[in-house]
Amino acid sequence: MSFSDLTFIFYILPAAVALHALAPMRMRNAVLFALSMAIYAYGGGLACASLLLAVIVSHYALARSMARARRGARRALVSLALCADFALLLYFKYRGVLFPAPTSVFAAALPLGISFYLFQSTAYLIDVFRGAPAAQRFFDYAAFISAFPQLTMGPILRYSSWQSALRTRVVRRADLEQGFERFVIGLGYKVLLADPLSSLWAALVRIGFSYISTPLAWLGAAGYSLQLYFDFAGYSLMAMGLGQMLALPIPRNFETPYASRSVSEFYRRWHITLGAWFRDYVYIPLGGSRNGTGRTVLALSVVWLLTGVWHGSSLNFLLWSATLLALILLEKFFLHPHLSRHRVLSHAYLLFVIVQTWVIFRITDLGQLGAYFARLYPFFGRGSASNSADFARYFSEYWWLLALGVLFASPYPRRFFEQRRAKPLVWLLLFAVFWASVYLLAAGSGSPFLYHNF
Amino acid sequence: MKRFVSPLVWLCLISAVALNALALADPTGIYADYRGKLPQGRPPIAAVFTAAEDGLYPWSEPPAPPAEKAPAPEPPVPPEIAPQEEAVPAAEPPAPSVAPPAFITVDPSYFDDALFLGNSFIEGFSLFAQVPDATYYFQRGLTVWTVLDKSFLTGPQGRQTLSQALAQQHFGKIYVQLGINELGDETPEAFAAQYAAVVDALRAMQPDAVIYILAIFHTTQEKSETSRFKNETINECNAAIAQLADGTRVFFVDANPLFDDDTGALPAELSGDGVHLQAPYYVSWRDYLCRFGLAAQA
Repeated sequence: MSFSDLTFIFYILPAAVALHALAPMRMRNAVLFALSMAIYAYGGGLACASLLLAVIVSHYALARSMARARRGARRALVSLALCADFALLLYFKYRGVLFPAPTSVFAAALPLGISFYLFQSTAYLIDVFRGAPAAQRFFDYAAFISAFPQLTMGPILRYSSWQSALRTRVVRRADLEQGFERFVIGLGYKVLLADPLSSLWAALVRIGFSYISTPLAWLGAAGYSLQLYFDFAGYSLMAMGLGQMLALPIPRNFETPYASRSVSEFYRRWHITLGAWFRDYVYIPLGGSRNGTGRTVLALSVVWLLTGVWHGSSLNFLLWSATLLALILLEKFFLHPHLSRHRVLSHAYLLFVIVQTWVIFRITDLGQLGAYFARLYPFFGRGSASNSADFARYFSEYWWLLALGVLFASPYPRRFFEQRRAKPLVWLLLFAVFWASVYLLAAGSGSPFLYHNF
Repeated sequence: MKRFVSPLVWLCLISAVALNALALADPTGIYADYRGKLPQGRPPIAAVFTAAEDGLYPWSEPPAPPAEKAPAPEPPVPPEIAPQEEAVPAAEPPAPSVAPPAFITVDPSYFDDALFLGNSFIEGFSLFAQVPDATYYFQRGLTVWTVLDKSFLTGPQGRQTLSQALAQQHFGKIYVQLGINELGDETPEAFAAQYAAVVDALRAMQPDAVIYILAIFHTTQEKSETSRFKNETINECNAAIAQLADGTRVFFVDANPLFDDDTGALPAELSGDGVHLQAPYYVSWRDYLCRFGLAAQA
C-alpha cells in the first residue's frame, strides 16, 4: 500500500505507530512483523504475502544453520541460497518475456517489493557468511525484512544497522515529531511535485513523441527527470520518517543527486542503498578499482549489467545501463580531470547527459524511444512538430512547477530547513504541505494536473 | 514538559481528528452525499475535500433538496448525420452518406466565430487543429457534471464560470466535447439527461448559436479492454446524446468512423495513450467537422 494513500495516512499510520509504541519491547518486533504482513497482504494479496513469509522463514533458518556450520558447508549453503534467490528474482522479472501468458497464481504482476526484499535477504546471508552474527530470534529477523516502511520500495537495509534497535528501542517523542516532519516533506515531494509533474509527460505521450517540438522534447526530459526524483526520493523520505517514528534507523537514500558534477557522483547520491549493495556484494568482490584497469572495467560492467536487469525486463533498461556504464568509464579514464576543474561546466555536463538517460529509462518501446531522440536531435530529420509553439504553451503551464522542482532538487531548502527546524515558519509551512497534499489526494479527481484526467 | 522538536505531528493529529469528526457528525448535512460516494476504506475526511472542490465548505448553507426537475422537451427524431456504417482509413475521410441538404463543406474560417467547449480533446484541438481564430473553453477532466458550475475559465477578473464567460462573448457555433472523464460513472440515460441540461443552458445563454454535440471518441482496443474507457459504454453514451439533436439548432457529429478500425476501436497507431488522438489527427478531425457547415452560418 502506498504511503500517499489516504487510508494509509489516516488509519494505518497512526494505528501502526500507536500499537508499536504501546507494545512492550519483548513483543515489539512480533507486533511490527504482524502489522507489516497485514499491511502487505492488504495491498499485495495473500499469494504475495505467502511468498514473502516463505522467503523470511527460509533465510532465517539458512542463516542460523550457516552460523553453526563449518566454512566449506557455509560456502555451499550461501551459494545455493544465492542461486535460488536470483533464480526467483529472474523468474519473476522475466516471466512476462519467457511465458507471455500468465502461468501462476501471481498473475502477470511482479510480487510487490520482491526486488527490494530479496536483495536485502541476500545481503543478510552474505554478511552472515562473512562472519556477521545471524539473528537469534525469529521475530527480530522477520521484522527487519518485513517492516512496512521499507518493504516495498526500499531503502535496502543491512541487518547490522538494525541489530541494536531490534534488541531494544525507545520511541521518543522527539523521534515521533521529527519522523513525522520527514514523512510530510516526502509526502509533499510525491503529491505536490512528482504527481503534478507527471501530467507533463502524459501530455507528450498524448501528442505523440514524433510530433513534439525539440524544445518541448527537452522540457519533457527535464520534467520527467524531476518527476522521477521527487517520486522516489519523496517515497524514500517517507520511509525514513516512518522508520524514525518506530525508532528504527532508515538511512537517507538520496543526497540531492542533481547537484552532482559527474555521472559517477550522481550514482553515489541516487538510490544510495542500491548502489552500496552493488558496491559491497559485486564490485568489490570482483576486484573493485585496486586490481588494475581490466578488473575495474570488468567489475563496473557486471555491476551496470546487473543494475539494468534489476530495473526491468525490457531492452531499454539494458540500453540505459549500458549508456551509464559508457559514461562512467569515459569519466573514469578521460573526463574526470576536466570535470573537477570546471565547476559550472561539470554541472551542465551532468544535467545534459542525465536527463537523456532518464528518457531511455522511461520509454520501454525502442521505436518510440528512437522517435523521442529524433526530436531531441531534430537534425536526424525524423518526425516534425505539429505545433511549433507547443513549448511556449506547456512552459507557461509548468514553469512554476519546474522552478519549484529545481529549487527542491538543490541542497538549499534542506539547509534552510535544518537551520530553522523548530521555528514556526517551518512547521506552519509543513502543516500547509500536509493539508495541501491531503486535499490533492482527496479531491484530486478535479485537479487538472492528474494524469488520468482527460 | 520538554520542548517540542516540532508540534507538527500534534497539529496534524488534532486537525485530522477534528475534520474527520466534522465529516461524520455532519451538522449541516452537506457531507452525507459525499461520504456515500467515497470508495471503501477512505477516511470520512476525504468527503470534506471533495465537497470543498464543489464549493461546499463547513460553513456553507446545506443545498436545497433537489427540486422536481421540469421534464426535458421531447427531442424530435434526429436526422441521420454521421456515416455510421463503414470504417474508412484515416487518410480518406468518407463523405457523409446521408447528409441532409442543409450541410455544406466549409473552410476552416467557418470556425472564426465558433466556441469549442470541453475536456482535453478540446485542448488538443486548440493546439493542433490549426484553427487559431476560434475560441476555446476547456479544462482537462471537465465533465457534463462540472462544466456549468465549476470556475474553470480565466477572465479579466480571475476565475470564471461558463455562464460568466458566455455573458461577455457572442458565438455563432458552439462545439461541445464532453463525456470521456465521466464515462461509466452514471447510466447512459443519466449522462444524456445531464448533457441535455448543459445544452439547454448553452441555448439559453447563446440563443443565436448553433450547437454541435461531438461524439465521445472511441479508445484503442487495448484501452477498451483494460480500463473503464470501454467502447461499448462509449457507444451507448453516444447513442443517448445523439437523441439531443433537433436538426435545426442542435446537431450531433460523430467523427469515430473517420478513425475507427474494423473492430470499431481507435487504431493504436493513432494514439499515444489509447484515448487521445496524436497531434496530426486533430487536423483530420477539423477537416471532418468542415463537412458539417450550415449555409446560414457560413
